[in-house]
Amino acid sequence: MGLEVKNLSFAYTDKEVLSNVSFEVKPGQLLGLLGPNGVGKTTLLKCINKIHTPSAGEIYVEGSRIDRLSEQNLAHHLSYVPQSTHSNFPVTVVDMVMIGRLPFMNFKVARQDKDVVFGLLSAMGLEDMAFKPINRLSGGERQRVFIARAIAQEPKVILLDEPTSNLDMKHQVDILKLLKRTITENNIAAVMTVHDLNLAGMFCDKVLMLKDQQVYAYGSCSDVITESNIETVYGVKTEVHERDGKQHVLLTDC
Amino acid sequence: MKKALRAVVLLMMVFLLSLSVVGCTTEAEEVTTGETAVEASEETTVVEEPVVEVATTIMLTDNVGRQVELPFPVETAVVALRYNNELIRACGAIDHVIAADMNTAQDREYWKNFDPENVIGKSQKALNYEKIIELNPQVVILPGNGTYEEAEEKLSPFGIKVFVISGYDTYDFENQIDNIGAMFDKKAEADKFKAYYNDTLGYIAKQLEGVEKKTVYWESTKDYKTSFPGNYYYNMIVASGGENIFHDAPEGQSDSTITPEEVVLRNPDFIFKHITPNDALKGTGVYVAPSLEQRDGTIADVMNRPGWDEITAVKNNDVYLMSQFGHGGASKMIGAVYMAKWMYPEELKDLDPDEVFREWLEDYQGFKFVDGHFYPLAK
Amino acid sequence: MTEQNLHSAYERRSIKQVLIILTCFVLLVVLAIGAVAVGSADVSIHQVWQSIVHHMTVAEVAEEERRIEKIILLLRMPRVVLGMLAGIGLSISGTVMQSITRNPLVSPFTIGLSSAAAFGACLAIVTGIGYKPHTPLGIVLNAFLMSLLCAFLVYGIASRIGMSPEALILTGVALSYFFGALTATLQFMADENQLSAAIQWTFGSLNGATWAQVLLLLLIIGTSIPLLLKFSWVLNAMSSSGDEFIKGIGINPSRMRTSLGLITVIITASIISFTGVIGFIGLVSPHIARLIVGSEHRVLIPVSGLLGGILLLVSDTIGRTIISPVTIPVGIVISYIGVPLFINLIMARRKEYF
Repeated sequence: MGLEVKNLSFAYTDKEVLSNVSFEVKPGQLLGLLGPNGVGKTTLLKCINKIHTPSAGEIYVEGSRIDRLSEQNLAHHLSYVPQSTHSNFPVTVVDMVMIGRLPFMNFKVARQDKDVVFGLLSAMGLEDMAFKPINRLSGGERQRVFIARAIAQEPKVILLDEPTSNLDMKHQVDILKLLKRTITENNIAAVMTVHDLNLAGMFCDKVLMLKDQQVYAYGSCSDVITESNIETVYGVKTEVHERDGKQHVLLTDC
Repeated sequence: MKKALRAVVLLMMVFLLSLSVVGCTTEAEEVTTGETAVEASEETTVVEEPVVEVATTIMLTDNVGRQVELPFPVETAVVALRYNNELIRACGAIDHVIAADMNTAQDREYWKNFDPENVIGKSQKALNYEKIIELNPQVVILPGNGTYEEAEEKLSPFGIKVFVISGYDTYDFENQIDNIGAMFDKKAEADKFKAYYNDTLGYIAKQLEGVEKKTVYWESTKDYKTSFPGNYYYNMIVASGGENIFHDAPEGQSDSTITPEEVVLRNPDFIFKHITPNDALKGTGVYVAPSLEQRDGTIADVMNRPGWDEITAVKNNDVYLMSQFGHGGASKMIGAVYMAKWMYPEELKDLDPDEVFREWLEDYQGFKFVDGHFYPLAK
Repeated sequence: MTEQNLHSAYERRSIKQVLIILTCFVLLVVLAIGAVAVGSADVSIHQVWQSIVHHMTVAEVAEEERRIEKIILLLRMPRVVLGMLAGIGLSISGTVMQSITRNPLVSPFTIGLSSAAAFGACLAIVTGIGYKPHTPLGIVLNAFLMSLLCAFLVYGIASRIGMSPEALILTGVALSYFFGALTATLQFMADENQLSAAIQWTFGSLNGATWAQVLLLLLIIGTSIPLLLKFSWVLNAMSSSGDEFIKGIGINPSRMRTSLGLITVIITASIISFTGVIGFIGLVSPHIARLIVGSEHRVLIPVSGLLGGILLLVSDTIGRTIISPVTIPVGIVISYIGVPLFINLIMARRKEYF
């Protein structure tokens, strides 16, 4: 099941942003969305979680068409990790993750909710800072909190908008390892937008490159992350080497 | 950052410099006008021997203690504040007032003589100096709470004098009436007015010598706002022979709002409340008395306040109303007179407040007696 | 910490939070009783109790006694209860407004309610427009209706431009100035008596408190608070995350902003129609509460309400007793108490908050 996007098109009034985009992500898989800034990666995510309404095409989450699902209903299947934001008011880690349980809670926090949340805090290594305000955490720790929150929703599909953009190398790797492990263990299909081609090559099962509103390339990392693709889409000369089955990209155009 | 700071400092210096330059120029202008006047008169003396008119002046001390030299007699004046205009009219000098403020002129009935299109500003605190200069009076008369210092500054280059008369300042009554009589050359009328005032209040004081004082709760048009010692309304109550239940409050408090339970506790014999007709804005003015419906309604509201049925004044139906317009007549003497009669009908048998009010309205202001400004009538 | 430890830590935190709520509640009740006993005539708690008993049993009482009892039952008690309710209502409204706009500078008056209510009162006093404009009831009605009008305008315009926090705040600020200008115009046209009455109204006072007002406010606040509490988790989400995440959780942020916002409008408009404008509580009590219990709304709403009630009650009591018979307007006392309290708390907790 997972996520399936068929012939998706989207336009802002008269300017077309996405044209005929199709792909699918199976449970346990991680798809990387690649492409230069402004090409529409975030817009694509927003079409999937119903923030934007597409002008054409269908999107299926767990086999159901999302335009036929209410927002509340969709929230049981799909969750979204936006780019990290600063909270104006003090929120503790545990309360932030607990918000992910909103689709299940009315007022009272049930045993089940607590189990899920505390389990996630352990899995993400957040137990020791559970009662700290999130503004006092490092960027990497904060990102883990947002991912935990998204998982607490018990989704079948997760969308992540540049989950590693503002992190240092170690944290980028840690987060993605954690993400990969989590979606595999929980059978979740995940889509993330990403800039770093090396990271994409390392962790994604599939990648999709967008150019000029359309899918330029889609498939396994070895098929998509090639020198000619990179040059066409990003306008940068590179050398791509394969090592242990993973693509590694070296910049040569300096 | 440093550049910006330097720019700011430079700007400030330029600003300060220009201020001082402006200051100098105004003084210079005054000097030059004086000089040209002297030159002109010198020229005329060469041709003929004209009768040089010696303008007489008079030195008076105004309500805020300023010594001001005024032309004598004052032919043209503009006046702000209704009370001021009333006092001037009482001294028979209103014809010399060529314009007033909006607060006065608003009352189309009582102040027919003023044109609302030709006012000197909204009030004593918001004067239109250009208009005043255009009208070119000899004197501008303002109360003490008006912007008299600013007016002085703006108008002295044009030779217009500023004189402070505060019609509401009942403590300075004698001095102010004397000033009015002096500047407009209406001494006889002023003296007559003073006698009317002093004789009436004197009668009350004499009759009430040794009589036990009745206690009073006084309330303004605003609910629960009373008067404390030092306040002009307080003075009015004293003149009426009553004792304000808040006589122990500190003097000089500007805000005198109290809690309703205070009044219940202090249990006054009489309650006097001020009232103003609801339609004052529509130009009918405050000369018109509040309607019977409004009067009865106000008294009922006061008596129905929670817990107030325990008050002596309420039990005895001794709740009286005075209109904001009526009480203020003759520097609040009218208000004092009515309150006195309400409180001491036996001791003040020869006092007829309606007669006093009529005299004030008809003889001193030129208006027919109006019923309804004091309610209900004395028992 | 192991998972088991997490459970118990969470448990302990919940208990601590409940204790804080209870403490605040008890404090409020104790202060309320104290406030009823204190005033121009200080009475003992026993006397207060006696008054209630006598009233219930319709007993015969001596005249001097009767006067004091009437003061207690008809003047002090409604005043104290009204003060509490006003403080509770304004504080909770402020909390919710801050949360739905994610903005710590917002108060219940940000969308212009105070300006509109003042305009309504002024309209009644100066021009006589409205139902029975020169009675207290007329002024209350006008103030209330104008507040509602302002709210509808603000929410109407804001929803056209997306009902984001910024849309709401900016529209509110603009309309606030607009109604302010209207009021200033009226005041300019008014004569001095009407003017002083109109200005006095805006200062905020509990002098005119009656049991009728208390009952009405009790009704409004009593039904609104459970409703707002029901949406605690929505508020938790809205105050900590962006609109996009919120949609992903199944909440419609614009609709929530409108409905929760309008509930606070009704509460605030009702309160200020009776009491005039009492500022500062709606802005600062929520922050004091957040500094004590954090942003979990199931706890924050009750605590912020109780703190608001305490603050207003204490301020009014001080204002009417400290230099009796002169009364200091309640709004002034609130600032003198609230500001040092608030700064103290910020200094103590600054690491967590900023």
